[in-house]
Amino acid sequence: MELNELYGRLLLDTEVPADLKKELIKNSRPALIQHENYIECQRCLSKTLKNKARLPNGAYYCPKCILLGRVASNNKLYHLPEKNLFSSLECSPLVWQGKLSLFQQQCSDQLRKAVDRSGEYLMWAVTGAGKTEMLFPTLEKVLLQRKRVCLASPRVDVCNELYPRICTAFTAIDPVLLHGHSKKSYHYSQLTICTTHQLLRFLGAFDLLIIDEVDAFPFTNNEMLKQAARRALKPNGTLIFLTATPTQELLGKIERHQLAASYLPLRFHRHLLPVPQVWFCGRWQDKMYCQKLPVKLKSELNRWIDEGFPFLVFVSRLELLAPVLRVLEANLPAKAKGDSVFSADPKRINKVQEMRDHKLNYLVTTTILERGVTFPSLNVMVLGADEKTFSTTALVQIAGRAGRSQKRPNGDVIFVCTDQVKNVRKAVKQIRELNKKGKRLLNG
Amino acid sequence: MDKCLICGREIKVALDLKWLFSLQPFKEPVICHNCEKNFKAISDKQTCPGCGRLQDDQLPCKDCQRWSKMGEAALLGNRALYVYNEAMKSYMQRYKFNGDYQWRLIFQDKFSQFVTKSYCKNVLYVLIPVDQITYKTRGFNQVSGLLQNVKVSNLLAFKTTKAHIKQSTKTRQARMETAQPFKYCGKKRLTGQKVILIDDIYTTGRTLYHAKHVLQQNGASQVRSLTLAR
Ligand SMILES: [Zn+2]
Ligand SMILES: [Zn+2]
Ligand SMILES: [Zn+2]
Repeated sequence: MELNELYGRLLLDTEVPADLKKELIKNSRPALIQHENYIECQRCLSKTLKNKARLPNGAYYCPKCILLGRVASNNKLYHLPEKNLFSSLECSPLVWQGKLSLFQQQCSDQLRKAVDRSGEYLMWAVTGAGKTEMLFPTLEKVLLQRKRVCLASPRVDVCNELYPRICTAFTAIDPVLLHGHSKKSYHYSQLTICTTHQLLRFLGAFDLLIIDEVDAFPFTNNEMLKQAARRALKPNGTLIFLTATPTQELLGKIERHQLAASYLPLRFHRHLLPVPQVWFCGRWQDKMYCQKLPVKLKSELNRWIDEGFPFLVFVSRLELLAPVLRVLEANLPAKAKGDSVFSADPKRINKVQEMRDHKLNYLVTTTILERGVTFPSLNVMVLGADEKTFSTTALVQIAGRAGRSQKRPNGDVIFVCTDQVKNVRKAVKQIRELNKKGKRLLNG
Repeated sequence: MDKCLICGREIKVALDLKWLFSLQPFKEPVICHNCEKNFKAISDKQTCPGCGRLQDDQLPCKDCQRWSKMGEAALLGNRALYVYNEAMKSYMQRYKFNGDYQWRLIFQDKFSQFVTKSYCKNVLYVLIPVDQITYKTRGFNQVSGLLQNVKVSNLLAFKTTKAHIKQSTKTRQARMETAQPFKYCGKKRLTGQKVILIDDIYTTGRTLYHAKHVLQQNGASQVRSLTLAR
């Protein structure tokens, strides 16, 4: 291990080789602090009651961040201050040839200015606005300033999709990709792409930290990860949140002028968001139980197949995947190939790729494909949009999967419900409001 | 309401009539129904009489036949509570290898009941020990973590403290050739004593048969075993 692999990091002694540990003993600190009734983990900053953290050998451990390797009373944490020892770039590292639209450019310029100040900043851009490309000028600027940057997301898929795009846009930089399933090892890089959990391994490292899909699980409502993000940032660093569906908490902060924000209510192709059609279909579940597809759904899906557009069918629960797929296979023409996919599906990446390669016409899925994953010319159907699993945010994100390409900027989005519920109403309302703002922008 | 130790979702407890009439003290479940479903219990259906694995008949399985051929006069008659499937594998990963001691609570009640239910008079329960180094880093013995209110006798210890290779990192062949790792550490000889060995998983049976041999050499008349998974 090179010494620079500890710059800005906070590593457990099990992650540091023995010779380095000896050398750096002065740079170590206890990994766990004991208080009267509880213990406080110095890696994730969580507190745990002693009776829930006690081991039979008298030691304590932190159950909260155990998936990154267990922190126990006898462990130490190692850290070296960030030194920004990056080779200075002769010319711009950005080789991307694309062009931003006028509105994207405006949003991107605001972001570029925002990084001159420390503190938090929000970029709220609708699904399909082209957020990643809008980041490029900002990344180019800070990389040239020899600053250290991190692009983090709560979702592994988002990281995996970001990494190759960043690599091709910035060929002079060798970014590091970190997440629980990544086989790549760590190297000291000016640009880190990682899941928000990996931020627990950083301390005062980044001049700029960008968190994409900030409202997604598990980051949202997770104090541990929020603290980790703040701590991974340098004290005078800039923290940028990206989202298409900001949480109430973030919206409140904007209203109270505690959070500066830029806003893009239009997609990159300058078309409005597809507005979901809400279909009330009281007995769709009973019908499906008898291996039948309600007539209305069947004719719509047949139309999609005839027109040659791929589609996603979202279901509320894992257990519904197989039966729904069976009903679709039995009722749709045999030429239409489908499959099902769920978050822990070992073939998940393959299936998504088959969908991209048009080997599959449709996928039945749980909410895992609600974000990050993009297929052009997609139609979307949500079965049981009134179920609790589909939050307003999830529904807006799901609707946002449709109409992502220039060639087909509109797509069909259908929410199949039994009851009128708040989530569905709110989601449709939110999309209409975004479109109103988008229209205003278009009409100048 | 508590959150499921495995998936983190809130656990909905349905207090059913059966419970209300049972007058049992109420125990908060630590995992949700959905996660619990992934563990496959081995009921008293068809199992191998030697190792307790679930199979289509009740004859000794191939592995157990091999033990007989290798000279085992009596098989261990192992009984296991669950099938060693994917869910159990990731459970062991988290509990044993990541060292998440809280996760003992997932099976503690059920396994303790399973063990005490098989109790008969004058039988000693003996746990498979963990070696010094593992105990020091892990901080607990994973078998005793799974038991509550079960009286056990410490009769087995590891021979030396020198680095021994973890069973789980070896190939099957290497495991079968492993030399006796245990020594007897009881105060007295076991005169005609019946013993039940307790371990977390029955994989090849190698560890448990080693333990059986040590106890028999020290006077045990019969040695059988119980494990959480097979
Ligand atoms: Zn912790
Ligand atoms: Zn669960
Ligand atoms: Zn057998």
